Parts: sequence; structure tokens; C-alpha cells
Amino acid sequence: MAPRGGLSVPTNGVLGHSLRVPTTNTELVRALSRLRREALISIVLQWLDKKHRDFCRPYLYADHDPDDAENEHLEYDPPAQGLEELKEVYEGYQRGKGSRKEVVDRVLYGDWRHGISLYQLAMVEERLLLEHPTSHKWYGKRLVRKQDKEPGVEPSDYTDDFPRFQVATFLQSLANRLAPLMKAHYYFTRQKNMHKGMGLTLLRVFMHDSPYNTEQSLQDVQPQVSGGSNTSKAVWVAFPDSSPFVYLSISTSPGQRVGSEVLSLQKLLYDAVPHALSKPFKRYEFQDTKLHTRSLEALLSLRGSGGSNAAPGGWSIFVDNKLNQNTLDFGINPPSGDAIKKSKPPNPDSTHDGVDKENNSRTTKRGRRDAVLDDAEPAESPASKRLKQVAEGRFGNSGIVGDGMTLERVEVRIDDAFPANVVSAALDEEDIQTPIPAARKSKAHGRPSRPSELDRPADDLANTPGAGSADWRPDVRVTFYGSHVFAGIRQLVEKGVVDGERMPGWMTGEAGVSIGVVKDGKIRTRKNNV
Amino acid sequence: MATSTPQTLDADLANLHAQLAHLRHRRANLSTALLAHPNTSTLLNTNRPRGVQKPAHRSAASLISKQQKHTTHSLHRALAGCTAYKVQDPDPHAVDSGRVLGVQIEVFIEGAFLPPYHILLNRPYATYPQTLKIHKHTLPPCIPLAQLARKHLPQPNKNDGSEPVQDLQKLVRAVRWEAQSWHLRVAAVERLREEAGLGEDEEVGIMQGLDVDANPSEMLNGYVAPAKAGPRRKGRIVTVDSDRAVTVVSIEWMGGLGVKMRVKKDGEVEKGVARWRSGERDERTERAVLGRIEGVVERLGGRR
Repeated sequence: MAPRGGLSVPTNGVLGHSLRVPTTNTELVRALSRLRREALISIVLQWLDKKHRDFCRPYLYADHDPDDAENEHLEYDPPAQGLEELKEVYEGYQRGKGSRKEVVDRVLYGDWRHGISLYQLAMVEERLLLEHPTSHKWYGKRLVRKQDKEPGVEPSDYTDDFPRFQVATFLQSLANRLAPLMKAHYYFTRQKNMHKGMGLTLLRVFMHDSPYNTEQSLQDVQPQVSGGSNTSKAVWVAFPDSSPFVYLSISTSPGQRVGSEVLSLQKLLYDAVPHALSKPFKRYEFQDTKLHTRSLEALLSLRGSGGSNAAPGGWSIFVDNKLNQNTLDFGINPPSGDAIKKSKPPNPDSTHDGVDKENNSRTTKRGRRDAVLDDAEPAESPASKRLKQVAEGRFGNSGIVGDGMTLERVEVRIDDAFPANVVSAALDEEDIQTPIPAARKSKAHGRPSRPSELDRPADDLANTPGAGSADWRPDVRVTFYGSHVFAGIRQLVEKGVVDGERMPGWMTGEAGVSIGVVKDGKIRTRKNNV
Repeated sequence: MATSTPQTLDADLANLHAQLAHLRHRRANLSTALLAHPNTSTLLNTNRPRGVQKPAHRSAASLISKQQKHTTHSLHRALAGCTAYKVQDPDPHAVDSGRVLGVQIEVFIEGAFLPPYHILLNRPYATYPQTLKIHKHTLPPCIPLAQLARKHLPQPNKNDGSEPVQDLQKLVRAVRWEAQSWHLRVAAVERLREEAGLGEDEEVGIMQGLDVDANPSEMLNGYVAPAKAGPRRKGRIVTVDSDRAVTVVSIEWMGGLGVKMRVKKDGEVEKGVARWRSGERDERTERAVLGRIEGVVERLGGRR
């Protein structure tokens, strides 16, 4: 395509909302085709709405040039006369005529044949994000003050001071910082009620590797990029309301490889976010919170602005306040037990009752009330009822299938010394004698060849005692993988596969991390983070 | 009745259920009142023949003592505001064999107690067996628990070997004050919103200080705009918003005036900045916002 005049000068500006990308853009076509029919039609109607109309101008009769030879899609020729007419067409689709494919074709080759604006693309991706909440992988990061030597400030005072987030100022600062490196399109949106009333501000950054901010440059980049390396150029950054956390997304579409240049652009962006929130004498940086998940709900619950951040797993009973009546309720009849959920039907052939008799005196309940599940079904054998009580005591109200707090992948490295009696007795059988009894249940996954976050530091590795000595620490890693890891472990406890009483606390999810190092049965945590 | 349709039957059923619920509630109330009455136990004891103890007597006595315990407990919760209790951590690897001290903090707002907040403490240090550390808590991040803990519940320092001086009571008192004042501020903003005639749900998309749909390039360049001359009309209030910690409250009017005010923890408006959309300051509004947060909308003449 020959340049259509106009001057392309490298600038410091940003990409405007109404710049259009050609309809042949693979990213655009893929995004549109992933939308459901109803969502697609409603989003088109939004484009035609008065509020968004300015940035989503369709191709109308007034733009039509009958001599232009490029108008080969005669099906939608001539274009609509006005916005009202178009609105009626799409409302007709809404009433149930035409297939999804027809609507997509009409959008791409008819009403927006001259291109879809960046704003429209952002709206489509926003809808995709909300409809497919697990399509992105999110990294929970914490904003901390940079540990500079500032006079009069204790280093520990830095940890929970977090910046005020003001959209306009932040955006200006971020754009200033990124402008010399790339051109980007910024789109902000806000979800008022993502999870238990917590709001979330979402920023979508569409990164464009070019010094120009013209429509021409958006079109020129298209032929060079073959395949899917273009797909991950848009990333999301999520800011939960007043909390020191920020979530970064890595878009992962199956079968797509992300090019290295895209990764470096992402890195530039992620480095720029804490800078843009900083101000003189208050510099921030990201600290990894060891929580990666696909579920925004889980992030909001564990790294959000509510009270559940520091009481995950079984401690969540304190957040939900299940063990207390209202203070002014003077009746002694406890609230009805209907609220207690049953996650699984009882297992009739569960015969693992040997472990239960061992230490009946030990309490497995947290809290003062001895609220017992009285309403268990009569068909349940005492053993499985007991197992359920144990699971209830360890997990509380967490780890229930369908509660939305899904962690898909939990990785730990066991850093305990190898049990001495096992070392001396059966050194060559070490692969079946793992220190944690549950380790064998983990799905054996190939160790990734690339360096993992769990790798020990080199100097630590050098002075590790060898096998046979009393302080030998083999490199044992356990990865749990599934649709909802802690719900799975809870079910295993209820079935008696995992011993619910001897199970370490991190297996109930009470550390609130998805990657960590276990020492003395506890996941090691950072100091001073309350 | 022969003429009953499914609809009327459903309505009858719902009605009966409501009646049942009401009766159950009434029964619970009456039994509580009876059990808590000081004369009940005396009557039970005097009417009973000496030396004979029937099972009915025994169960009645146990119910009464249970009720007494619960009443004492509830009264302590309501009047003291902070209650300590013991928790056993079921984790076999827990420090200090799973002994955890819990503190429950009540918040009273608009005639009702909210679900309480909990702070759970353990004693993780082998060298300082009495030194407490916050293990888990259920306070939201807008309450500066960590700062307060550093002040009142210092942790042992590796460099100097002395045992830190901790004051749990001061910590709990400070946290309760923070939580209570936070809820009071939240309630005050809620009332401001009602006074301004705004519903629960504002339109999604309006954000503090920024029209989301503004073109970023225009917005970034549009900071310096010449102020338009002439009188302006404020119009009605369109948003009353605050951050979660309610330290900054912003009010916006239809006519393009927006005021942001900084609120102190005790609910006093410390400072306010009012601007028209063109960037011009409105000093009259800025002076009017100073004072208690509760009457701001009224002081600004923002009633419907």
C-alpha cells in the first residue's frame, strides 16, 4: 500500500483512541471471533452509543467513494446512511436474526471496513477479559518503598506505605516515561464490584514498537509480523482500590509463542509502572508476592483491599465470622447449620479409619466454639464424618469447589533436612521416601529446564552438605497442578488419602502463596510484612 | 379450597413460612428472656424437693448456666469492645505448639455491631518466650496495623539482645480507634451521598478526576487551558466519591466543578481544593468545605 500523504515524524505523543488498525489484523480478528454472539452485538451497539461514538466512527455513506476500486465487498454496499440506521440493523441482530459469523463479517467488511479503532479493540478485549476471567495469567506485585538510605527513616517503615493512585497523573507520568521507547495506547476501565465489593481499576496498554504515532505506522507494521507474535502486545495492569498491590497480566493464548521483542517491551512497561507512581523522595519498586494465578478473584481475596489478605486458608473463618453470633444476640441457640456447605457426597467405601483413632484428644478445630456438624446425613459412616470434620477444621470455609479462589499451580521446594533415620537405613531408596507423605500425590511434571524461581542461590548450593550427613538437604520440589489446587487437597483429606491431622499448614493454603520454600513445615515468609 | 390455583397456593405457602419464621424467632426470644430472668433459677431451686434431682431439673440448670455464661460473654463484647480468647492452631508444625492468642475488636456503628475484626498473635521466638508477634489478622490494608505494631509490639532485633518492650493493650486500643473511626468516616460519606440525592450505584466508568473516555492524547496535552470568563452554574451534584480509607473525598457537580478534600482520621476536613474543569480555582467552595465531614454537602448548598 502506498503512503497516503501526511507526514510521519517521530514524536513523544501517545496513540490516540480513534486511530484505526486494518481489519486484516490477526489479533483483531481473533479477539472478535472469541466473543459470544450476544456480547458481540451488545458491544457493537455500545460503539454506536452517543458516549463512545466519537472514537468508533463507522463507515457511512458520506465516506463512500464509488470510484474506489478497493470496495470489493459488494455485499454491504452501499454503506449505511446514518448511525440510527446502523443501530436498527444491529438491534435486529439482537432480536435473533443472523449468525455470529454474519455479524463479524458485517462489522469487519461492512460497517467498519476502513478499520477498527484502537478504542474499539480495547473495548473488545475488556469484554473478553470479563467474560473469560481465566484467560490471563496474573502476577501479584506489592509496591514497596525503595530501600534507599534516607536519613531518619527506618527501612522497615517503608513496607506498608503505598502511593495514592490518581489516574490522570499516573497516566501522564507513565506516558512520559514510555514515549521515547515505544508508542502505546492506554485504555482505562473500572470495575466497581469485582469481588465482595472491591473495586478494580484496569489499565490496558497496547504497545506499538515504532517511533511514530500515526495510523500509517499501525498499518505498516502488519505485514512484517507473521504468525502470532503480535498477539501479546496488549497487556493489562490492574490496580485494586487502596491497597499496596498491583497485578500484572501475561496474556497467554494457547499455541502462541511470544517473541522476545514483545517480552522486552513488556518488561519496559512493568519497570515503568512503579516509576510512574513514584514522586521525589518517595520511590517505589515492585516486590514479588509469590502469587501467580489466573483468577482475579483469588488475587483480590489474597492481595486485595479487604480483610482476607492476612487470613487465608483455614483462618478465613475469622474473616467470615462464622464462629460468632452478633454481639447483641443474647440467645444461646447457635445459628442454623444450613450455611455449612457440603462439597462432596460421602464416600461409602472409605475404610481408612486407622489414622482417626490415634489421637482423638488432639483438637483439629480452630476457635473456641465446638460447633460440630450435627446435620450430617445418616448414610455417612462415622469415619468419613470424622474425616469431614477434620477437613472442616483445617480448611474452614476455604478450598471449596466453585468459590472462585482458584490457584492452578502451587510449587514448593522442601528445604528441610532429610530425616536422619531414613538416610542411614535406605539411602538408595530416597526417591520413594519423601519427607512429606503427600508428595507422592503430586502430579509428576517435567522439571523446567529454564531457571526456576525456586532455585537455590549459588553460594547456598556450594556449602550444602552431601548425602549421608545429618544435615543433608536434597532438592525436593512438589508441584500441585489442577483447576483448584486447595479444593483438591481438601477432597483428598475428606477421602482419607491425605492425613488431615498431620498435614502441614501450607497444604491448606494458609500461606497465601503459589510458590514458596518450605522449612520446618512452614513456608518461609518475608519479615515485617504483617 | 377447590378454587385454589398454583399461584394462590404458592402465596399461602410463603405466608406460612413467614409465620413459622416469626414464631420461631418469638420462641427464641421468649426462651432467652425466661432463661436470663434472675428469678428463674431461684424458683427452680425452691420448688424442688430436697435430695431428689430429676433429669429435667438437671437439664434446666445446665441451660441456665449456659445462658448466664453467654450473657456475660456478650456483655463483655458489647461493653469492653475488645475480647481476648485462645485459639488452637491445628497445624502440627505451628510454632509454640499451636497456641494462638486472639483479640476480637468490635465496631459499633449506627445502632448495630458490625462483624468484629480479629488479630491473632503467637510467640514464635525461642529466646524470648513472652514476645508476641502478629500471626494473622482480618483488618483491611487501609488500617495501618503494621505501623501500629512496630510502635507498640516491637520485634526482637538481631543486633541488640535485649527483650523488646511490648504493650498489647495499647496496640489493641489504637487499632480499635482506627477501625471505629474508619467506619464512622465511611458512614459519613454514605450519608453525604444520600443528602446529595445519589443512589447506591453510580454509573460504572466515572472515575476520580478523569473522564475515562477522553482521548488520552488530548487529555495529556489538555492540562493548560485558558479559563473562560463569566459566571458559572454549579448544577446538581453528580458524584460523591472517596478512596477506601476515606482520607480523600471528592464531590463533583454537573456544571464542571469538582472539589477534593483531605479528611483527617477523626472526620475533620483539613483542606479542600475546588476546581472548574478549565482548571480555575473556586476559593469560596474551598473555604466552605472546612469543618466536620458530616455537613459538607449542606454547607455547599448541594441539597436537591
